Amino acid sequence: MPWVRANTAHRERFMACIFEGEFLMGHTLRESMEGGDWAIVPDVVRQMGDVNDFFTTNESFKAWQIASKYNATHAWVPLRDQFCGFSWERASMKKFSDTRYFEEAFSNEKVKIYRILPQSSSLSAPTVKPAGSRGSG
Amino acid sequence: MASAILQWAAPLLCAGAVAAAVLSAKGKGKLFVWLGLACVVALSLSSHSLVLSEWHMPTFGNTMIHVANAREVLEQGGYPLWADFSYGGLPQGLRNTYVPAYRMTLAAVGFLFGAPVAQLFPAYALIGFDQTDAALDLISRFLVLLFAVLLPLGFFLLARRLFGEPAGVFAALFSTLCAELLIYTVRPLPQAFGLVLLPFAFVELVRGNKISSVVLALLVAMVHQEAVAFYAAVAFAYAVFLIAFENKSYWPVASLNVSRQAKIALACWLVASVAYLGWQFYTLGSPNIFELAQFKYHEGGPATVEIFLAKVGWANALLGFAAIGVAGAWLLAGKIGRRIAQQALAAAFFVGGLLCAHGIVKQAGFLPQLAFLFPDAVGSSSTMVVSISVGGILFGIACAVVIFFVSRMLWDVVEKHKEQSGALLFAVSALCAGFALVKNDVVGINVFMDRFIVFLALPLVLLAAWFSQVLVERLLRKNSSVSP
Repeated sequence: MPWVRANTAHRERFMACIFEGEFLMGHTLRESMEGGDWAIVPDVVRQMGDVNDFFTTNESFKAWQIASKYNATHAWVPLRDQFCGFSWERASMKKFSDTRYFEEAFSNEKVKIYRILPQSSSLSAPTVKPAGSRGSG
Repeated sequence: MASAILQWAAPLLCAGAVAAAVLSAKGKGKLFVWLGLACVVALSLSSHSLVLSEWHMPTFGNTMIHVANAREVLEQGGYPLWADFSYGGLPQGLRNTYVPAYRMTLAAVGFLFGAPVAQLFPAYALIGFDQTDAALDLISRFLVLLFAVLLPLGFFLLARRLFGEPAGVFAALFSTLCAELLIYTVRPLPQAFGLVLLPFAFVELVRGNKISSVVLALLVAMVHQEAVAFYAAVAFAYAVFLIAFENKSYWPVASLNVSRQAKIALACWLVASVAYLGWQFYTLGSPNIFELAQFKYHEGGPATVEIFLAKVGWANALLGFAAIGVAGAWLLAGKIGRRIAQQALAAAFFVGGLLCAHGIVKQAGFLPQLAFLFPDAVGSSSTMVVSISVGGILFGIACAVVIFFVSRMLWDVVEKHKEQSGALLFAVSALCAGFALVKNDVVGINVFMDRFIVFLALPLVLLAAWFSQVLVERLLRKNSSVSP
């Protein structure tokens, strides 16, 4: 939490599942793409599906695309199972090692925070092969 | 160690509360009423003390959304009315439709007492909590402990107002033993605040105090969405029942006699409904609640008999329904005649007994105990179904017969409480309103059905308390009649 407060702006957006998202908003006044009052969100189930896909996919480009769609700047990734509205699952970590899309910003024994990198002109969507399919670590 | 002490203390506190209620019914003075209430409050505090180690974070129930809004008030100096935190709310322009009273209470208490309280607990800094974190964490937990005291107190005041002091102590005890009420008041949530406020709001409604009834109706509307739905439904049903029982004919409508009490109930219904819908219109630009995702995606599950019994508890359900039967038949006796009313009561108990039996058989796995009746059934699924059904019916008949004769025995005692007809009307109104909300799937709304069961617990607790009081009075009268 102190890292989030010191290094991100008020209301900055995170990719996080329900409980982590509410933890972030309650303790730091940052926003999460999941968590909170779902009653007022248009097409909320699709948004939950997107966040779930972001954490479960191995494909770095796909994950980056989802995060970009929602203008999220960081991903909060707990090193345990999490719940994005469908089932308790551990996030697939492989995609985060693709340094074209993600950069580790903070790490401890419980959580990793990744910065979601802005799009580079040489990495336009159609030419990029998903990191998962290349087998890059 | 503490939990071991509580395990021993809880039954003793329950026994103490029951003994105090009995002594109060014997007319032994107010001291026993307060002692009984003290036992119940201690019991409630012990069960709610779970919040000292749980349920602030992580939690099911979205406690931190409310903390976020209170924190925004404290740190940014304004309520985020036009920018909800939920689901990446600000860039989407999500308006903050949630009613604000609980959040503002949290912020206000945080503002007044947060800093000094947080300084008393420096350990918070060791886990990365800043001062606002520590303050809001402590205050949230403190509010739950406050709710733990106010919940039985509210039920006590309401039941005392309606039926008398012994019923007040019984209601306080039953409210503390109801699992669903504990589940929804042990976490720092607006719903806990709403559930605690409801009995107080109903006390003022029943007292017929115009100003305080309307103020509390307004407060409930600004605290919690489901609580105000229940409050408005009860106020409306109470007004309708009052008008129905105060008039011999209902046509022409203009000639109806509408008592002051019924007018206040109608006013409270109107204020609560307009306040909530007005808030939603102000924040969303539409009063159409059916556009909310909760309605669109049908949040909540259907309320089956088993779920209902598990949530309100066997004691509240059985005593409550027994009381409904007696109260309903007794209230109707003046209209349809005592004989028909008692026959209706018998039929109601038979159906109630069947439902209870159905619940027991499905929930507790009654089959082994019934197997001796149907030895061929063991091992065969089709005949097992038959044995469960027949066993259930037999058990239902047994329940119906026992409860019916007990209630017949109590009939004359009930008749001596003629002044309580208004009180029973209120309890029955609350019950009907609760059932209508729980079974909203019948009219195709399908939202929050099982989550309204906790509100239905309120009239059941009241009726169970009334029935217990009547039972105790009958037993005491019998004992005193055999004594020289």
